[in-house]
This record gives sequence, structure tokens and C-alpha cells, in this order.
Amino acid sequence: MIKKEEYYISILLCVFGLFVFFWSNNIPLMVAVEKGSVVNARFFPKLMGSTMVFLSFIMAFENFLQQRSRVSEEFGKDDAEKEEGEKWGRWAVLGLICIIYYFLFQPLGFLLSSFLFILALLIFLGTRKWYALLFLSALVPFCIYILFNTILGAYLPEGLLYF
Amino acid sequence: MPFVEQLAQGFVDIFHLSNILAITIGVLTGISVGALPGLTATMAVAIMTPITFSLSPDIGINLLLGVFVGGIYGGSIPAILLRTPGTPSAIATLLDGYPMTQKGQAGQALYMALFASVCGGIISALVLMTVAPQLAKVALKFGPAEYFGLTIFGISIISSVAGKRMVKGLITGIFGILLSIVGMDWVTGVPRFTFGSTDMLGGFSLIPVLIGVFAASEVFHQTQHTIVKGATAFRAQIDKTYIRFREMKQYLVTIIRSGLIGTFIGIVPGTGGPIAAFLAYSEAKRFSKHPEKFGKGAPEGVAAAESANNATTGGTLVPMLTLGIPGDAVTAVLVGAFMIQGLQPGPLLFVQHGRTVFALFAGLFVANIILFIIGVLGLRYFAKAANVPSRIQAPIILLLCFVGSYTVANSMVDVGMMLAMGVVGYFMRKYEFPGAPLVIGLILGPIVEKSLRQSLTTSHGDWMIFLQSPICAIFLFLTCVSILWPIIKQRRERRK
Repeated sequence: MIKKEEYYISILLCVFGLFVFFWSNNIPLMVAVEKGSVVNARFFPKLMGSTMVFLSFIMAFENFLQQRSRVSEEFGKDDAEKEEGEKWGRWAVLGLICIIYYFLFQPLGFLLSSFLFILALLIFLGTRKWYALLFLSALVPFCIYILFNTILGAYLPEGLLYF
Repeated sequence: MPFVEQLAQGFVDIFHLSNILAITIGVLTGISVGALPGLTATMAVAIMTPITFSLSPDIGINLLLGVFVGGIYGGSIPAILLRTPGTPSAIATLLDGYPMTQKGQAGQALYMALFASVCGGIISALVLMTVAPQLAKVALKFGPAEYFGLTIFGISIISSVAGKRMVKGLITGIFGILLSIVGMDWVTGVPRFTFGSTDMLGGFSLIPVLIGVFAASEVFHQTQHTIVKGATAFRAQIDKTYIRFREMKQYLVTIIRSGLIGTFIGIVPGTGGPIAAFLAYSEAKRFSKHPEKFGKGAPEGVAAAESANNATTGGTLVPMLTLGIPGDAVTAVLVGAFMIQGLQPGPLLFVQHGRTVFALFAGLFVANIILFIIGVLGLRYFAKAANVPSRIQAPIILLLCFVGSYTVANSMVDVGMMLAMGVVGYFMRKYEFPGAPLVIGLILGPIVEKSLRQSLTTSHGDWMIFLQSPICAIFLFLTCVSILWPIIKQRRERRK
């Protein structure tokens, strides 16, 4: 399916490639090391940046060809029929839950923060039975904690709960 | 040490309680995750990788091999019962598996899938044991120019066949290479694209990127789409009829042929389970005395697809172990696990860690035997895993993503990286950019740059060095073919 977004993605990738290409000029050169070398630390990023620009053009060109090969009304229909739009509200809630968990992970400790995280996600995704919510929110972090901290000897932050 | 002795040593090493336990846990986890619709074997291996950090290489890698083997097989369970493939490799399985369930033969279909998977896996393990050491000997002679040709070929073929549009695969591959540039330059030690952050001096850690692209993105996808409460749940009881030995024997030729197809398809980078399964399925149909029964519940169809997709497990390990080129997404994740254990896949692995490699060969063999035992004992219980609703799965997987990324270096930077790559992975999936080339670009990027700069420094900037080496020239020629062939094929089809 051809979408308008495909063109925006091509432009975005082209800008990204150009950014990599020109920003590479800021990479410091170590003259002592690179004196005898033809290729320096800027060489490879520039090569890959320009390849990205080239590929973004190809992608845009392919979109153009596909668009041309279809009847114009069909192209319009594609846009109208595009799959359900991004649910930004759901993204916002999910993002907020993840960000709060990210910042509470170390201060509160793994067990407590994960309990709240699982609880919030389960409610967000539609679990309503209180016993299922409490049971899963407590059991899952506890099992993971035992597995990583006790059995595998990996460190998970203890935070407020010291044991 | 001669080959046979090394192999025998591998089997002696693997028959330790800890190794057998690790493989068993791996297979159990793999089947359970694979049986959950939408969750792939790649995701199962990505989530389990952090668990192996504190284990010894033998135990850790064998655990992941168990997950790999179990995960590929697990995908067949919901394909047969619910007409929803657990993994992309199981799409061909549902063509005959689901009609068998509709005819009330769910148990027979599941046991046929199990038997065929185990046979396919064992065939591929045997091929891996014999082919890999020989290929590694050849690869040992490679210099920087040859490595450049090889890695460029690896990235290009995977990028050109992954996904629906080749250009998108190539863009993703280049994006992965660009991510690998971030951090300190390996020659001069100067920072590149770190924007003054000391946290980024080490570059993008592989494991958080893997977990983000393959696991977190899937959770984000599940949370963004309407979660149906058990609408497709399988309620019927699986009949207790085990498939009879006579029936197994009847399809043995199909199973062996499909196993060999799967193994050799698996060896070619960029192919993998789905292609192998469909090819084996169509070959089985072509050779069958009753091709008309295919698609209507023929056990032979299930046997062909399952034998082939499980046979790719050993096949994909051949280029990964011998050349350091991951042939698909799962092996890309396995490369990450190897590197965490201090093992760099490639020909030198056979020289420096020969014992571990042969233990791994034996491990793959044993994993298939364990798969058979676990499958026979617990098939009915695994079938229930397919009914776990995604509203319960999603929070648990996301929590494992956080924990897995954090335990890489006890750093929240890695967790942030995982979340960012999860969002990138989600949008990549939405706009049909394949995930595997990104990870493969990230893994092979440093090798491409190193070999390119070494070669050009040696030749004083003369690019002809790549054509003067015959091996490199062949790889570059194959690279051109891999990029141009899909274009030519597409044009021909359009003309027709």
C-alpha cells in the first residue's frame, strides 16, 4: 500500500543521511595515528551517510513509480482506507507508565516499582478482577527477583525494601 | 585433535546435569513462548539472553539453543489448534494442521509436528557437525579484503530478502551500521556521534537494541491494537491418540527430504524457517502420491513443513559459527549472547574455543531429543499456553525487557536505549521495515568498517584491492546479484 507517510519517511531518511554526512566533519582527526592512513575516522560515517541519502531517493522514486502505475482514484482510496490511525492516547498512557517506572526503578527498588508497573499495565490493558491484579502484580516481580538475584546472582536494585 | 575425538568430547561435556537441565529449561521456555501467538522464537531467545550472563558459556549457550529449538517447534501448536501461527516459520504448518484439527485429529497433527520437528532438527545438527568445521578451515585463510566482501554480502543478502521491499531492508541494514558507528573509533579512540555524552562512548549495546527491536516493539504493538479476550481460544480436548510408528515410518522419506531442504535453506543467509517450510511443503506435494489431499488435512503436509522449519536451526548456525555472519534474526540474537560470553563467532572460534563449539554441536543434538521427550509428556499442557491472553502476556514481557536490559551493565542508560529502540522497532514494523537487517548491520558494521579501513590503508587508498582478491571479488559479485536479482525478477513478473 502506498501511503503519503512513505514520502515523509524518505525525506526524513534523506535528512538523517545528510546530517550524518555533514556532522562527520566534527569528528576529531588524530593526525599522529592517521598520518599514514588514507581513510580516517570520518570516512566510514560519510560513506554510510551518503548511502542512506541514495537509498532514500530510491525509496521515494519507487513510491513514485508505484503511484504512477495505479489509477489515480485508487491511490486516493488507499489513503482513505489506510489502517486505523495511531492511538496516541494509548501511546501517552503507555509512555507515562514506562517513564514513571524508569525513574522509580532504582529509588523504590525492583520489587516495589515492578509491583506498581505490572498493576498499572494490567489495569491499562483491561484486567479488572482485583484478585488477579494483586496476584499477578505480586507474583511476577517476585519470581523474576528470585530468578535473577538469588539463582543467577545478578543485581537488581533493592531500593526501599532491604532483604 | 581429530574430528571424531572432538565430537566425542563435546558429547561428554554436554552430559553434565547442569547442561541437560539448562537445555531442558530452554526447550520448555521455547515451546511455551513459541506457543503464544505473535511471540516469535527470536523474541524468546532475546528475552532469555540476559539470564545467561552469569552462566558459563557452555550452559548459557546451550540453554539458548534449547529455547531456539523449542521456540520454532512451539509455533506449530497455535498454528494447528487456532489457525494462528505462533511464529512465522509455522505458517506452512497451518495449511494442513488446522484442517486436521477440524477433522478432530488435533492430537495426531501435534504429534506428527513433534516427530517431524525432532527429525528435522537432528538432520540439521548432523549437517552442522560435518559441514561447519570444514567451512571454518577455509574461512581461517580470509584476510581483511575477503572479510569485507563477506560481510557486505551478508548484510546485502539479508537486507534484500527480508521484508516486502528490498530498499527498505537495505535502509534498515545501513541504519544498523550507522548505529554501530556511535561511540569511540576503534583505531584512533576519538568519539563519534556521542554528542558529548560519556554514557554513549561505549556505543549502542547490542542486547538492549535486540530486546527493544524484537521484544519491546511487539509489546507496544499488542498494546496499540484491540486485545480480543480469548476469542480464538482452543476449547476442545486434545485427543490422546499418539501417532503410530507405522504412520511415522510412512512419512519418513518426506521428513528426511524436508529436513535436508530446511538445513540447506537455513545455511543461505537471509532465508530462514518460513521459506524452508513453504519450499519443503511444495516439494512434498510434488512428490506425493496424493497431492490432492494437501491443504485438506494431510499429515504429510504437516510433517514436511515442520521438519523443514526445525531443520533451519542447525542450518543457520553454519554461517554464524564459521563466518560470524548471522543468517537470520534468531542467530543475530545468538551472536549477541556469544559476545556477552566473550566468544566471537567466526573461524577463530573453532581454534580458540573448539571444545565449546563441539559441546554446542552436541547440545543441539541433545536439545532435539529433549524436545521429543518434553513434547510427548507435556503436549496437552503446552496447547493451553496458546490460550494465555495478550493482556496478561504484555506486562510480563515488558517487565522482562526492563530487567534484561538493566542487568547487561546495571545501567539505566541501557534501559532507555531498549525503550527507544522498542519505539523505533514499532514504527519500523508499522511501515514494513524488517528488523533483522538492523541488528545484523549493528553486529557486522564494525567488521565491515575495520576490514574496509585495513584494506584501503594497505593498498594506499586503491579500491582495486577488493577485485584483486578472487574470494572478495566473488563475494562482491554475489552482493550485486543479491541486490539486482529481486529487481530483475520483479520486472519479469510485471511483464508476464
